[in-house]
Amino acid sequence: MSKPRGPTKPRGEYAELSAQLQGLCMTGKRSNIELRQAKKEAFKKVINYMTLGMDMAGLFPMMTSCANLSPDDVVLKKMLYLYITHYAASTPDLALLTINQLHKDCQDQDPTVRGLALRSLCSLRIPNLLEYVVTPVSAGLDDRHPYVRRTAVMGVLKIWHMSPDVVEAQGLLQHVQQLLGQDGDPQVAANCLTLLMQVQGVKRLASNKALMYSLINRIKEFSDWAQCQVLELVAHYTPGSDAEVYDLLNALEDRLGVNNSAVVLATIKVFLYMTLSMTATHQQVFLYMTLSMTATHQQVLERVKEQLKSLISREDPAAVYAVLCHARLLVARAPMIFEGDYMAFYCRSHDSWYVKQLKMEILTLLASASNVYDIVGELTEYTRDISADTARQAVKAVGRIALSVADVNGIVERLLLFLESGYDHIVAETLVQLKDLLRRYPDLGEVFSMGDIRPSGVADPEARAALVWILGHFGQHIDTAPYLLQPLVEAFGSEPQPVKLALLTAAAKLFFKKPGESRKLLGACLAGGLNDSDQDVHDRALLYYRLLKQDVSTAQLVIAGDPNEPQQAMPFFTDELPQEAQQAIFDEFNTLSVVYQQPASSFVQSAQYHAQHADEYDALGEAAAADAPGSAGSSGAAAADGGDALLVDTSTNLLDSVQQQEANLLDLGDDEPSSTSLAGGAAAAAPAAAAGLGGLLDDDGLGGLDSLMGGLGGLSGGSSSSNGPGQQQQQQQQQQQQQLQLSPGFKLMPGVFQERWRALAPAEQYVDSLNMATLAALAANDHKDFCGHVGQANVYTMACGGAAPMFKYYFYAQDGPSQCLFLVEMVVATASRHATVTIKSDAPQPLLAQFVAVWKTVLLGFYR
Amino acid sequence: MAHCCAAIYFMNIRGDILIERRYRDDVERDMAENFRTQILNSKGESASLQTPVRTLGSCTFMYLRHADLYILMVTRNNANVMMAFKFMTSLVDLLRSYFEGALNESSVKRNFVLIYELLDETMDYGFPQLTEPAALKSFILQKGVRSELDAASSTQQARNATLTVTGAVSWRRPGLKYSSNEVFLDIVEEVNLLLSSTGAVLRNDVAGKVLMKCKLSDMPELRLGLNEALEDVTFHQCVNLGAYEQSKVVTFIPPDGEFELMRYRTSEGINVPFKVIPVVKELGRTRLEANVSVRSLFGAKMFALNTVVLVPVPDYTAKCNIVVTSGKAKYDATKKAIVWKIKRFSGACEHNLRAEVSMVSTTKERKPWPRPPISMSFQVPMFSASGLRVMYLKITERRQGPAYSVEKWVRKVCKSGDFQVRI
Repeated sequence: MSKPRGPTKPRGEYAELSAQLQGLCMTGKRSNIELRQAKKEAFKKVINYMTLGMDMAGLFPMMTSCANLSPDDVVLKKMLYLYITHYAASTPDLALLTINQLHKDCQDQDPTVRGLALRSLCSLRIPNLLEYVVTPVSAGLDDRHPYVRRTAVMGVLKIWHMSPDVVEAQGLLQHVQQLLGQDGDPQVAANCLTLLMQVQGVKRLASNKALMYSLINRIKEFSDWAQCQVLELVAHYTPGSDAEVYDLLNALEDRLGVNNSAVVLATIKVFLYMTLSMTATHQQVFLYMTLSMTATHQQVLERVKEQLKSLISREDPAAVYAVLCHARLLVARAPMIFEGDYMAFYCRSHDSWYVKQLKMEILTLLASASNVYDIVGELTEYTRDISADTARQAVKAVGRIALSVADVNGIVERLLLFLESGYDHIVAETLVQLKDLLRRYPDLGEVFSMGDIRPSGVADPEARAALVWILGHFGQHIDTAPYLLQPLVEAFGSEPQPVKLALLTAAAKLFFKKPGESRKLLGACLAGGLNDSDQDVHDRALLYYRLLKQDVSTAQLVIAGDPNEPQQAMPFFTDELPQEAQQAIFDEFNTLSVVYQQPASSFVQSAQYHAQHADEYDALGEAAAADAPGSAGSSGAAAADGGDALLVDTSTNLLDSVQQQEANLLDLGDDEPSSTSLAGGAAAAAPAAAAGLGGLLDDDGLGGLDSLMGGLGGLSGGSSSSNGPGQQQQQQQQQQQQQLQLSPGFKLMPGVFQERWRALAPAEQYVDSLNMATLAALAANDHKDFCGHVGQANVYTMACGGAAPMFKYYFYAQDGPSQCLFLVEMVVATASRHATVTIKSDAPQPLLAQFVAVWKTVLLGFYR
Repeated sequence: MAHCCAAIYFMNIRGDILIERRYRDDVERDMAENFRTQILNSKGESASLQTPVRTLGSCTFMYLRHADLYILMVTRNNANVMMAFKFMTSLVDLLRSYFEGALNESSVKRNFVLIYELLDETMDYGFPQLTEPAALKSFILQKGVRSELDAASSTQQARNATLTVTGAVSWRRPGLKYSSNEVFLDIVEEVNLLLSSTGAVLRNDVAGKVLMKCKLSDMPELRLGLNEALEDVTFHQCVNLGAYEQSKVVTFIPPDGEFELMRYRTSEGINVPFKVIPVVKELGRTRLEANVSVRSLFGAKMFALNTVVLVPVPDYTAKCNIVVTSGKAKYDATKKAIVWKIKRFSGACEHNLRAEVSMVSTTKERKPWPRPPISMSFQVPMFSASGLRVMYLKITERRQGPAYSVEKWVRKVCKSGDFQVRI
């Protein structure tokens, strides 16, 4: 052992330590205490270098013999074992040398040493050495000291991850199962539970009622962490009856009052899950939303709400963050429960940024007619925050609320006030929000004024793009629009990509609205776009150019929409998570899924290391077995590298990506053709066309384009002639209007429904009597069958449900050509078996009559 | 699933690894390096915009900051996030109790072997095991970097201690002896208040905790009677919750040394210690006048310590003429506020500040001043904002019976939490 092993040359610290350790292997003239002290110092150095990432694997033999020569020193032993477990995976043959010593220590008289040795032995994680591990673990399970037993149980779990077969073959699982039932020590039982939950799956284990009850009965003996495990198990238990649910809730209620928030949240999970599936369903139908949950679940939510509020006010920022993520999920599921408690989610000045951000998100979800003005007032205070990010977030929240709440006037005014705040970041965010708001409520475009904000003065690219979009889209109301855009167009090349795209569209739209003033603008934009290096910008410019060249009126249809039709309102934004995704996340309550707002399957790469459900058990076992040999080293590393290459930051990008998606959806009206039709062939022809246009433009500034446009006679001049076909179209439309065509797939926002329902007078009302079979059919399958039946006729459900003595249904439909709405309320009194139908609509009489006929046919089709 | 993490790291602010403990194979050291380069030191976003849960690839990082340290947990699975954070805070508490309060980069560097030992005991294969300081201290003996000369003698003691580690009363070991028994009980309350500019209460609540320090022999049982039943309250695990539900008496066998007995929160029936009436007028473009009067609403025999009132002024303030009836006040340009300090604020009296602020006049168009709120900080000893009082604290020891005598000390202090008045 004169030369140290390992890849590094013996020099520097490494050589020094190596020599020192060798010296320490001999007693020399030192006293025992001195020697021990010196060894300890040397070991500390080794571990320190190990932590720093230096390769100390070569010191293996010296370390081992040093420690072996002072066998009673526990601290020295601990350091040695820490060192061994750190390097064992990379130097398995050396690890083999220590097995003997570990075996010996597993039989030490001191339980601490036994436990330590056993833990280290199992942590070597070298599949080849498994045969040496199994026997001590098996003996450890029967040790007289609980410390050793609980370590041995975790050892079984470690073995299982390397090789489930070995665990199976040795009957270790049965052994653990016995321990779980019999062992008096709570931590041993807790570890047994942990192991079995991993190996057998929570669901399967939770079906063992006797076991679960015995654990609940002794839950107070367990440590906080172990309690979390027990509660996790209980959450997956399916109770037999409602009475059982109440018993369980009563037994666990005091866990909500524990100091450890991990226990509280685990208890909340139990409460929520238990009450979800109770049989005594009670549905409360609100006018605009179905709150379909059991009465107990609702009470539980009320109770849980108090607990969440308490956690939010007392925990550390990081823990509050986790709590708020869960609150966000629950609020999104049932906003009306939290409606009155919006004050709990007000920000405090000391809150960290991420806490404020989440609170504002929750406030956005909570906002309803009853509290919206208070919330918006509070958010307005946050816009004065020193941190620009918080202020922007607050403006954004106000914008989102304006989109989701029906009565928006006051809120829009508030947003417009932000434009005058004088702060760049607030103005910028307000513009971004206004853009979306104007898509949702195009009529606003006629009434509001942009003040004197110049796009060239807006620094934030996203906001500049938003303002450019607004100027283009509502150019007819803003006289100075072309002149406001002029400075941007002149510096077209230096603008960021989103602004370039917005400029192209805006200039084109303006050209249709004010051809005279905007001709030059469009020319310059197209020229800039065609010469641009960005593919998207180039493609869009080329598309516009060719469309315009081909036929101006078609180009107008494509780029700006049909000028004769009223502007389409964007009915809803895909801001919120879809129902199914939300449910999937709720099923993984109290995990990272809730933080990421994504189900685990989307961010956990391999299922190799954990078994989630019992039914996955077999497949998982195989996977783990197959991967086991390589998993210790190379394959794990490879997976890690692969994962890193992506470097996707989900936590922050999630929202962005949703918005991105939404933005893309919204943009389709503008540029769908540019992304589809240009994708293929046009690309090849592009340079030529660009050159052509360039040539035209080079001649005399914009003359080329002017002549091109001139050929079209100018839009304003030729409007009378071009209106010809338009008028015909209108006549056709009027004819069509007489024919009812319900739009398939139509969607209505709950808020809009509520608003319209209030505004309209009943147009048709009648009472039907039903027979028993029909009543039963209505309520069957949670009312879904009936709603589905109605849906076949393109009449969609806003809310439905209820239990005897009253079912309530709200439906809506839209006539495609005329855009008229039909709203239907159907109230069924189960005692008298009468259905009262009220239909409200803004449609003319002939259409209404048709709709009523359709509606009655639909019902007849369902009646038994 | 209910495990927390695959590895724990301690890092300094630069992201250098101070402690590395990997519990599972599915993470590599590179992960921690990536965390440093991609998250801690990323130039793209400022540190204030970082959420405590981040991902890189399929790897999740959960971290929190304590003093000049980052404590980081890494996992590839769908971990129980609440448990992870709670475990990290427990770990911080544990280490602080070992290092007598000072957990920072240098104490971590000095005691890394001890930390490795503790990490070994507190977590196994990513599952939290035992984090109770009292129990751990009984068998992880290295106290700080104290020399280990007495290691041999203490080994035997450790062997005995291990036997109690996993017993039912995990937070207390039997056989403790003190020459004189003492109990200290502190009620610490933080009062949060937000007033609108018109004086309306927008938010008012009190978050309190009861801290105890016990130097008691053997196995005493304590019964703490409080004057009112608190609604939103949580207890240390030693408290018998059933007994509290029934009789509203807090009954417990305390851990040895310092611990937090309970936390509570209330938003009703709050005694606010101060009333602040601000009048802030902007007179034209270059002058501003502020009159702030602060009245103490607690008894004349009591007093507040270290009262500080921050009266914000615009960024471009040039000069402030300030007159106060008590304490000292001056303009602090870094805080953009007038800082008014009163060392000792007596009960039932009123003090005023009057300031004339002149601003730099510029020709440039000026942004409007956002009028941030006035904030205030203080400590009022022996004042309870929630009205909570200790009615009695009874201590009984079954074996010693009436011979068991204890010195009891009860203190109260009310501190300012978020105490703000909008102007």
